[in-house]
Amino acid sequence: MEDDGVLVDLNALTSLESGRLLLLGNEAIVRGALEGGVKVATAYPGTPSSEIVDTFYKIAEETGGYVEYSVNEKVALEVAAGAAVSGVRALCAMKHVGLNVASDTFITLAYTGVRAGLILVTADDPSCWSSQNEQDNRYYARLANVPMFEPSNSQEAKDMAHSALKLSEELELPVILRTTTRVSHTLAPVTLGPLRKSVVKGDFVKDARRFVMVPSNALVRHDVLLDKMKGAEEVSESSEYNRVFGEGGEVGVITSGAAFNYAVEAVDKLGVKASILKLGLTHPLPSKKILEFLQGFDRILVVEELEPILENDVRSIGFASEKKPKIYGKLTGHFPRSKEYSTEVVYRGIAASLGLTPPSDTERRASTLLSPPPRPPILCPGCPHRASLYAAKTTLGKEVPYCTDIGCYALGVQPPLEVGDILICMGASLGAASGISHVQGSPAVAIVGDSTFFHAAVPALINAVYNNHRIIVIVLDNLTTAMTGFQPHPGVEPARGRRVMIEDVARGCGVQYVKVVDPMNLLEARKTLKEAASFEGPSVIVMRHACSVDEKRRGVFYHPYVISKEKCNKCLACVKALGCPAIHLSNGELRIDEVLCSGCGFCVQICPMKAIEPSR
Amino acid sequence: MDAYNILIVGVGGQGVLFTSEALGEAALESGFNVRVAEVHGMAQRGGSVVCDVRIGERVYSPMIPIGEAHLVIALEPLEALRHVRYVNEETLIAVNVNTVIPPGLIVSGGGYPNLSDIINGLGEVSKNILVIDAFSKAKEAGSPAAQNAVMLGLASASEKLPIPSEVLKKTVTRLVKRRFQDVNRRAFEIGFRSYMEALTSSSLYLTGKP
Repeated sequence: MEDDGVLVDLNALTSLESGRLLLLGNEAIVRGALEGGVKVATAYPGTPSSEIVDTFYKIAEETGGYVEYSVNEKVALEVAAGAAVSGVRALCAMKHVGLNVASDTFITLAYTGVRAGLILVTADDPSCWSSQNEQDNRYYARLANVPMFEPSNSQEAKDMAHSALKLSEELELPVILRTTTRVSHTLAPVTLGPLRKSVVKGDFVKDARRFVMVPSNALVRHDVLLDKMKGAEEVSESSEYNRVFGEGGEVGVITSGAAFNYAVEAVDKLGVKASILKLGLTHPLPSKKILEFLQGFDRILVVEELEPILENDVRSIGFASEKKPKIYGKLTGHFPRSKEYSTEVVYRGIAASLGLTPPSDTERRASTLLSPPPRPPILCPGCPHRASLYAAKTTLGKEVPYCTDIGCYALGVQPPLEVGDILICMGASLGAASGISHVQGSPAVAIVGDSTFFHAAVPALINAVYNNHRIIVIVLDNLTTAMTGFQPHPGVEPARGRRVMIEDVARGCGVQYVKVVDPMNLLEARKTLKEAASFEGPSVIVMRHACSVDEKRRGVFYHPYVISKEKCNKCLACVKALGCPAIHLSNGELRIDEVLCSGCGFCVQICPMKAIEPSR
Repeated sequence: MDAYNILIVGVGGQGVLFTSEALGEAALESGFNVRVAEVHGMAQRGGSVVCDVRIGERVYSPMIPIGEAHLVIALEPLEALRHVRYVNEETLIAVNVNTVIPPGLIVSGGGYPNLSDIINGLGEVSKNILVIDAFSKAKEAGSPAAQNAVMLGLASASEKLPIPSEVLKKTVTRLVKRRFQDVNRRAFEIGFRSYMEALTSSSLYLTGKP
């Protein structure tokens, strides 16, 4: 039982001054931030980063810090930066693509710098476990020219969070702490350090030449940044996080982050005698240390996930080496440039580089083991998105372009609903629909979630009004940010401040057709969709119904439905139309699983035989 | 000690995360180094969920290499089949026979494989298969939701797990809300006893030697 997982004892996390805890990388970052005296934490949730601010949120009272789920990553970073320029230590967490949203702020923030420590956590997602791309955010440290730490495990995540704060404050620069899914979402033992008391209140001391980035000031600050980063090179050279494991050997391995773990095991498995230069403070790189390491070997292996960033730098550093060792990596075709690594991927790469035979394939397959049928994630029983998407498809037809967005409803692209023709990034549905409708000369649909609407859809909505784009915007409002773990957004009852209604925002943006409808009421939903489709100009329909899983978490219970054996003619209309996990065939009978059924009753409106009835 | 690798597989909502975290906590409490690789985000969406638990001084990677699982705890039989590449002929596979049918199957017209075909298939890759109806055992303990505690009790009785049974039982009990603690403890004990009974009878259709 209890599948929310995350069992960390929050009391221990916030009060123990020593000892060991089993922590996720993300929880370890929180602990490191507490040991470093962070008092303001902000984020927009996104896998695999969400548990960082979720944890801060749960402990806010005990720690006396300020925690905010901001409307998007850009605003989150600006709030954290505001605190840090006013002398209060801050942390801002986001998933890798979140930094694209925050990048405008981030890159110029490196010019102004900060006064108290500021950590920006970016959690990358190689293999796209829960993302639309597998971009490598190590480039951002180079683009903005700020220091970056890359932990390999929870202990380092905690230690580096603390060190990143110190370095940030020393250099007066924001510092990146870059994790990947396997660091953020791996539980490992962490030895705790003492907690630190620090200020909660700050003062913004005015200094226009430093903080007002008009061209004349920005040019000066750019040189200041370059000087600071020159100084950071010395820090990197002497950092304990950049160190050699082992001595001598046939080959030298240079690695960082999660790849280090696989490299250690792969070298062991192959029986290769190697020294490993593990880099933890990876921007700026310790060039002297790397050069010295290169000179000890004829052959060097660079092991890093995703882009050949380290490899390119090692090659350029190696140019100055007298010995000119042969360097193997992605650019030589020995290691892959996509998907996350594993011990197997790395030992295959090392074996190919060194001309060794990799350990034989131990993969076993039983002859009778046909391929098991797939079990993809699907919309939950009682999900209001299922009702909304069904209503849209059956009212507006299959031909109209459905531009969808980031959230649970992206699962609607799967059969049987199959609603979703283009999906790019947060908020892109409205803009894409505008362009499509313009060139096609007919309306296009934009499907966007509630939290996503606030995050990135509002500018595109204003644009659609001003340019009169024929888009039908369906806002799926389930009153929570469900996909990432039920975080609040501005459209729900706030703990402080005022609730912002999506329909008010739409009207305020100038939309002339705005309706709110409960998608579980199929007739009403379809009537509204028809009206919107015939409206000249952009329209907004807010389909509002609480997330069924969130309701269950809050203890709301509805009685399940049952299928009458007498009335059911097994036409399978319910199954074929909805794909609800609670309805299944068992021994030739269609049945509703009493545990899975959330009691939403939507299927009752679909059944042509009126065979679905309340259980009581 | 060399690495001891446990793969926990199941369907979102069955408690794969809880099972893994309980093993991780118990391993730490028993003085071991440990890594638990979790899958988040999809856990509540009915998808296939897998977690890796690796115990041992020289463990760095959180993921179990292909063919190197010592123990598989399968909360659902089809999921055991799906992850069979992690198994070798010595691997102990503990399978809960309570099936969860993928909803997509009805739409696509496909079928759920025969349970006996699944078990026989698993038997071809490993000689140590433990088959148990954890659903009815958990009901006997007081709640069908305690199936994972039954599976942990069963696995811990096999004596292959380096974590002492008492430590694991305490952890499985400690980590749930107070009102579930008795059910979880009972479920663990029933799982444990089921293994012992299997040694003397064939109630679990245990194959091979434990």
